[in-house]
Amino acid sequence: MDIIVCVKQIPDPEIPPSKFKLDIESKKVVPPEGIPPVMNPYDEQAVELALRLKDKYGGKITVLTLGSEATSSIAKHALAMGADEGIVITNKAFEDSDSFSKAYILSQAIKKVGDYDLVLCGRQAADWDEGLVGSIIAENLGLPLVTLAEAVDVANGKLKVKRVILDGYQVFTVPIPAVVTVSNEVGRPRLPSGWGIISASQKQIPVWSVDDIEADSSKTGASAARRKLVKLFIPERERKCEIIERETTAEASIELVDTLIKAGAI
Amino acid sequence: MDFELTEEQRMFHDMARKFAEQEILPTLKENERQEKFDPGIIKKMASQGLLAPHMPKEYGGLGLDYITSAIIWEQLCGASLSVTQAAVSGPIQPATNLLDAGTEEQKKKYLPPVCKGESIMSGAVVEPTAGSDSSMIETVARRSGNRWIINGTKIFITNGEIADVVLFIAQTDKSKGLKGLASFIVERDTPGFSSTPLKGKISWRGGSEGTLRFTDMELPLENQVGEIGGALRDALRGIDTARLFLAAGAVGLAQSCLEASIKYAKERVQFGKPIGGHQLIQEIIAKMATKVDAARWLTYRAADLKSRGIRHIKEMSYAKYFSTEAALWIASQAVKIHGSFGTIDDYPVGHHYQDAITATILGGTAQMHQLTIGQQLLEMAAFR
Ligand SMILES: Cc1cc2nc3c(=O)[nH]c(=O)nc-3n(C[C@H](O)[C@H](O)[C@H](O)COP(=O)(O)OP(=O)(O)OC[C@H]3O[C@@H](n4cnc5c(N)ncnc54)[C@H](O)[C@@H]3O)c2cc1C
Repeated sequence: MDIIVCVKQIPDPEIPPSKFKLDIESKKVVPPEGIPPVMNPYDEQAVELALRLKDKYGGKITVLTLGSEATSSIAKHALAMGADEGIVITNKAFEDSDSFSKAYILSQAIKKVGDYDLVLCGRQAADWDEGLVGSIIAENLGLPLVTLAEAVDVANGKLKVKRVILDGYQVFTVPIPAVVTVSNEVGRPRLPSGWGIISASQKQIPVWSVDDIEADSSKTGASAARRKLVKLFIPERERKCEIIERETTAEASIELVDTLIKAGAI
Repeated sequence: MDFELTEEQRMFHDMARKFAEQEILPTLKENERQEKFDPGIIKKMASQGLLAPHMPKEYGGLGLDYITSAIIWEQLCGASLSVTQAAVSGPIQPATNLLDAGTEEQKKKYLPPVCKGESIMSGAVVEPTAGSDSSMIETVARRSGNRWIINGTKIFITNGEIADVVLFIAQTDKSKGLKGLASFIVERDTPGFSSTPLKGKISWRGGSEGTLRFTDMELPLENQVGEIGGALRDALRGIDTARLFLAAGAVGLAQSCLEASIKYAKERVQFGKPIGGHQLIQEIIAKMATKVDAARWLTYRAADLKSRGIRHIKEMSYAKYFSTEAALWIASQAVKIHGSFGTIDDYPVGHHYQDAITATILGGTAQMHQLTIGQQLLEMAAFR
């Protein structure tokens, strides 16, 4: 089974809050100094799911990442985990694209890759948590979509997708090819192996630009964005501690519940 | 000169660190309490490609240079130096020794299973009366027809209790002193071979050592490794790699102590502010960080010389001596910064503190390395 996985590079979500800085003017997150960005954890789980399918059915895994050439380290991480090919898509015209444009660019790249049975994306990117790109890719390519997958298998020539819901799961069968977004219930992604790292670091990562994927650059970048970010700021949090003292515990409990209701906490 | 890690080194760094967090840390506390080493970690490291980074690919290693290998060892030992040492010591000390001194047949037979984690190998030099001074080795190898008959005892042998195969040194002719020493290889099921585990340790409790006894143990002639008289020189080649491992491991241990101390010093509030805000604590942190950095670059420099095949006796001694002594000081300061909490095994610093003292002893004591450096600089030996 041939699989395309879309992966994104994000600032390391494990950084201490003190290192998280914003540039209010440009409305951007300032990359923390000395802490390299990482692959979005949900995307890493998408790679893991792809590898499980490859372990079972064979085939080829192609990883697509949209960003700068520096993003090739993310593609290499996926190769070291066991993916077969990594491609970076980058161009000035793609900078500051919104989710809609990003999905457009990725859809064009997927068309260029050509043969595939399945496109996997993480359920959302852990930086902005929008969770739009996978769904829009499916729309652009006219393919069936299942979101929040925990497992994918093949049965009778179709994909069988286990989808996470609150307190349980659903099982869908969808024709091949399809787009599936992957949830964290997939479990811990495998670590790259030593042999994987050696072979990945020797590989060249091809870089695709506007022309390579026949993209219309008027549909990308800040000018094509369908919505504008108005303000970006770290909210100031005020902490207040109120101690409720009453004659009896029962009275104090009632007062506590009333206070919480008034504060909208329960 | 370039002080940046390559992309490949960065990937190994990150992978080894995550592996250590996922596979070593979760069981460390319980295993140390029980003085237990779980050999399962050897297979896990092997399947991850972490067991024998420095060994050639044809014998089951990754064929990496020594800086990259040191980066891997540093990260693994950031979780536990003793557990990592027990896991990787076969491919490090006896295997590099065999790689240099063994016949092609011996290498093909023993090295791939050791590098793939299918067989555990020990290297046995030290005896009750022969520690730093190998001329005192009393294990005797007596030639009888087409056999060697071996009698003797080896102590403090890493994995001595669980090894499948042991590369050891014995005396073939006492009158020849060091020139009479020869190396041999023995498999556990050989009659006359027995072992007992070492228990009651106050340090290195996650590791694994044992005592070996050879009683009228018969070996075929082809089990001799290298030439008679060359055993110590051959063993020192393996020990050189073990020294690099210990230097790198001490850096990992020290880095972990530094990170834990910085974190704790920011969180723990006394006298109205985080303790890190007190100047005396900042002095300790500054000294720790400077020593970690110095130890790391001494280690990488020795590793670089070793990779390039340049003579590096003095530089390896600088690295092993300085890194392990710095790690011991840093670990002790880290415990103090943690106060009483540092003395219980819920925090990483307590584990490291226990291990750090032993790191200064095996692979050559601090004094042996000082004497080696002195000998190199003064062109005079002061060992005896
Ligand atoms: C965890 C662990 C694992 C080990 N694994 C192995 C293994 O796999 N194989 C193996 O063969 N051995 C192993 N050893 C043994 C180790 O190599 C020896 O303990 C070490 O070489 C020191 O020898 P010793 O303990 O006999 O100390 P000694 O040599 O008796 O030294 C005692 C003290 O005297 C000092 N000293 C000795 N001579 C001089 C001198 N000339 N001038 C100044 N000071 C001197 C030393 O520096 C030391 O402080 C291991 C030890 C440990 C603790």
